[in-house]
Amino acid sequence: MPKTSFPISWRDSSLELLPSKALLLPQTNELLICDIHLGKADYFQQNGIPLTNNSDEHNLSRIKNIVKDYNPNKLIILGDLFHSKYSISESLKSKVENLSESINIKIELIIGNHDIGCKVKNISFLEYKRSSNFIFSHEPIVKFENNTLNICGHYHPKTFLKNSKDKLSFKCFAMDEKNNILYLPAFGDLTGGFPCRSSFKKWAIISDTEIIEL
Amino acid sequence: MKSISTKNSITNIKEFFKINGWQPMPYQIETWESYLNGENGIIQVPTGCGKTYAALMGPLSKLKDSTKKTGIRILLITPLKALSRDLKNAVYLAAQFFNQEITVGIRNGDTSPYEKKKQIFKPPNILITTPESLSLLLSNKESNKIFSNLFSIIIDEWHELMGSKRGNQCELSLSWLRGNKKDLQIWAMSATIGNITEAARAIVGIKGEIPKVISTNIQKEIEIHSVLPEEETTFPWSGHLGIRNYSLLLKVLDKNKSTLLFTNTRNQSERWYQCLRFCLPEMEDRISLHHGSLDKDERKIVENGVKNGSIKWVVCTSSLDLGIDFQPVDQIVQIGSAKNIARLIQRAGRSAHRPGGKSKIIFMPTNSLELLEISAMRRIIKSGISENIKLPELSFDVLLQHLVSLACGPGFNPITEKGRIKDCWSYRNLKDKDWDWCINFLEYGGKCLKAYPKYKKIEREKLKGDANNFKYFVKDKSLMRIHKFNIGTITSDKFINVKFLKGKSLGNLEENFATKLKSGDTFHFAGKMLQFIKIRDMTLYVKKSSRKSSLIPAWVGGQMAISDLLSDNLRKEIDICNNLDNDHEYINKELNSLLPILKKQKDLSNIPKRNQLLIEIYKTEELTSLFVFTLDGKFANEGIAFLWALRFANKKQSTFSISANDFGFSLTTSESYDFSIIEKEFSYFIENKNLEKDLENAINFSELTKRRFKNIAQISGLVNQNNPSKTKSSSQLQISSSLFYDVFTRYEEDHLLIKQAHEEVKEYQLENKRISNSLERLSKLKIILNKTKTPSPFAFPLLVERLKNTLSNESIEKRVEKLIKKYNN
Repeated sequence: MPKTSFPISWRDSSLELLPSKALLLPQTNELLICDIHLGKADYFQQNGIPLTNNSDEHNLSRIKNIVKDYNPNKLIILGDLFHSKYSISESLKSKVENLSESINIKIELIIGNHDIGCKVKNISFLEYKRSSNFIFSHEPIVKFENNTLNICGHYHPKTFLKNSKDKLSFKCFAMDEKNNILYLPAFGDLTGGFPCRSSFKKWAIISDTEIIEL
Repeated sequence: MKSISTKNSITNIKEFFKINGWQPMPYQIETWESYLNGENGIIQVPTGCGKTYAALMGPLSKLKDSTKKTGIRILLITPLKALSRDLKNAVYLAAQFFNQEITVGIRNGDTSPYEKKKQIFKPPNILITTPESLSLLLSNKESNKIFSNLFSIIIDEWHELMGSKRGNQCELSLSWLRGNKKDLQIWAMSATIGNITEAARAIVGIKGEIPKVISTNIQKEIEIHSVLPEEETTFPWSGHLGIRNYSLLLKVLDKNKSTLLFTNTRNQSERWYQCLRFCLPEMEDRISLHHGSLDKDERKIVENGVKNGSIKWVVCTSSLDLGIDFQPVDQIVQIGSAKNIARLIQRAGRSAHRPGGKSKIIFMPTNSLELLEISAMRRIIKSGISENIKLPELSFDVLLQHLVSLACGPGFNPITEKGRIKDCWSYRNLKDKDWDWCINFLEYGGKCLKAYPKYKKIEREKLKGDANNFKYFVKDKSLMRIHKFNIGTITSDKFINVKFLKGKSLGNLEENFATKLKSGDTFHFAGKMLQFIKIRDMTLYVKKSSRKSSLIPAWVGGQMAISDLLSDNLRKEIDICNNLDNDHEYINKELNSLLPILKKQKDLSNIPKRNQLLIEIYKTEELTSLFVFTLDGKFANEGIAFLWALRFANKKQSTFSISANDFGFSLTTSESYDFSIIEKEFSYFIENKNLEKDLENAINFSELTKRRFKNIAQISGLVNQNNPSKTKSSSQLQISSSLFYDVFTRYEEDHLLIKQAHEEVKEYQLENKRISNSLERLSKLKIILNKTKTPSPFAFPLLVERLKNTLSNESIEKRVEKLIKKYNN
């Protein structure tokens, strides 16, 4: 059945998969998102490709909304907050620097491959981050430890729902159970996705408010 | 009146022919005379009749006296790189006769950067190139200079270019060249086509006189040998691949003769290759596979193998239609229907490349009803009628690409350029409003981007001495580089590269197929048994495997419908079948072998006459099926199927699954459904009035449009298919066309490129015109409605080839709801 959030657990920790493409860790009250790719449209425009950039504004307001809804202690971004260091306009920069204050919580960014060279204030930049049961990273760290779940972004997982008559694709959470990796869906509006391996366990985000276990 | 100089030139050309021991044909002399009289023209003769020298000698004899002038003097455009080398040899031979100083060059994707640079610095007198390389040349800063002394253009195999957007690309380049040099003489060579005047118009533009059409009555004889089933069967072979009958084919083939086996899809070619290798282990090293998804190097090995004789048989798709031209092949096999006459003739033509030579093709049906098609084709060829080739109209994607090319090179002034482009045949209906949109799109990125100053593709630059006059240029070096790498209209889907772990690349697979594989799965590809290891960065790594598997990838887009001309004749053929018993004049080998099937069809149902529409209803306990034999092309049949499904649903709600082929279509529903209302309500079903609207309701239009938009986005430069370098910055420019589609439809309603996708779906996918013509034709027919106890032979293939298409006009939410049904417990 579709749900408005999907609880799973890892050892003694619980995790909540949200249709807003975010992951909530209730025990520590941390909210995780990844792959927002701010400034993507600008980057395309600079390169002569006419992509409209209403999306940055929309992405930031979505972040504000989920923070309002779940009231976490901390927002952790698992990489690729920005699309490119060449496409951070002054106005985008100031909006991002004001974000932490406007949502009134601390923001940590695990540096993703697209974030390299980006500099903004009021956000702490980290290479990766560990807690007792988890390791947070941008790209997956294969076979870290048996007891630790690697939560990461980078992959932009997508899956298909189909029957003999129809087929649609959706962003999803994907769990590589063999390697203890949980991939989060890309948060950004202007991000596509890659279909993930059939061996992964998947939770598809079928609308803004519904998620379903496959 | 022939002038003295013309006479002298002709004598001179004849001299060249004499030295080589050739006899000029009347049409060749006619061509030379027309050229020397200053005319433009199009030569329509079968392949292998000396077209090249017909078109070339006029320009050459003009060139011989003025070799001092610099720049390219004669431009030769050919659709295929593979043809360039032969062409060069032929040109060189003749050029040497006239003046030993004449230089001949080739410029295409295989030309080295060094050679290209040299050509810009010191252009050859005669340049042989492809439409893509010509576009690239126009985007060069020196293009004005290079072409300043051009006096003649020759286009080879124009019919081949005309059928696709490459034709548009060619037209646009020609328009620029014509605009620069008023007295250009343009000649094209073409195979026999129905609409030759349109083809002629397209090379010179809509103004001025229609070029002279030169044709001959040289008829190339074509011998079609059909492989017929040995036993009498009363049912068409199922499975549609007919591969079970391979042994019949092997009986008629010679192992030591060079052979091309043409199939219609890549999937089919993999299957036949696998089958032949299995049956003829002694031929293992001498059979090969060639299709468009194989790696370029792999294909080259095969092409060379055929040339030097080490490979005897090649199973191929249309990828080799024009390919190896230099030597005739001994045997040609067509597996499955060729779908149109032009293709069959083209392929058969590969077997004899001399004037007057007979060409021969072996036809291997994959479904016995295809024998009817062959029988029809034979009659068409005899009657000498040919198909029309349609040039796509108002392709905005190609236009945008052309304008950016010009802006990279000599720049363009919008007013001058608009005039030139409206002069092109396929852009004659270009509206000022749409032209303005195109310019706006390039300069500002379209309506919704106006406020963003960082966007720049083309920029204005004032011309010296005239403050109001300006030209558009691309100034950014990296933009220029990306554009030049992406020039062309042949697009490819996003594919996953297949590689051996050790690194050798094999070719491309569709993403869809690749994601279905699990580690350890084996599948057939590139004629090899492969085991899946892993996917990394859009690359699928494999190793060789000895395990057996029947898994073979399928590629989208392999399907074709039979041509209008052929379907019309197929209807005639079936009409003839009605009276075979009394009319022995018409019977041939193919019909003869079909007699048992035809008899069964007659016993179970009917064979429709020309004035009848055959409809069959077949009922089992669970299913009710309707079969309608519209006898139109597959896509038109499919369109009518969707339309009727909607119209049936309007009468009584139900869900239908649909299947269609070139014969007709079927609607199947899981309930007991009264299809016989069609008899009373026929006028409602064939109504043409709300056709477009009903079709849009009946079919998931946005899905089809989205798919079509993929190619348009590539051609118009929104999405890059080739990256000049695999650097970080280029990977940051990766975006899917469907994201563009969503953004454009959300923010800019009348986006011209979205509109174009819409039009292309209607025109090429659904063949709207054909559907409406078909409904018109059906309205005049008398319905024969039969309830059959078992499916008739005509219905059988439809039953087997059920497409599992369902009428889907539901909202996304509704579709999601249905899709997640199985997870709902």
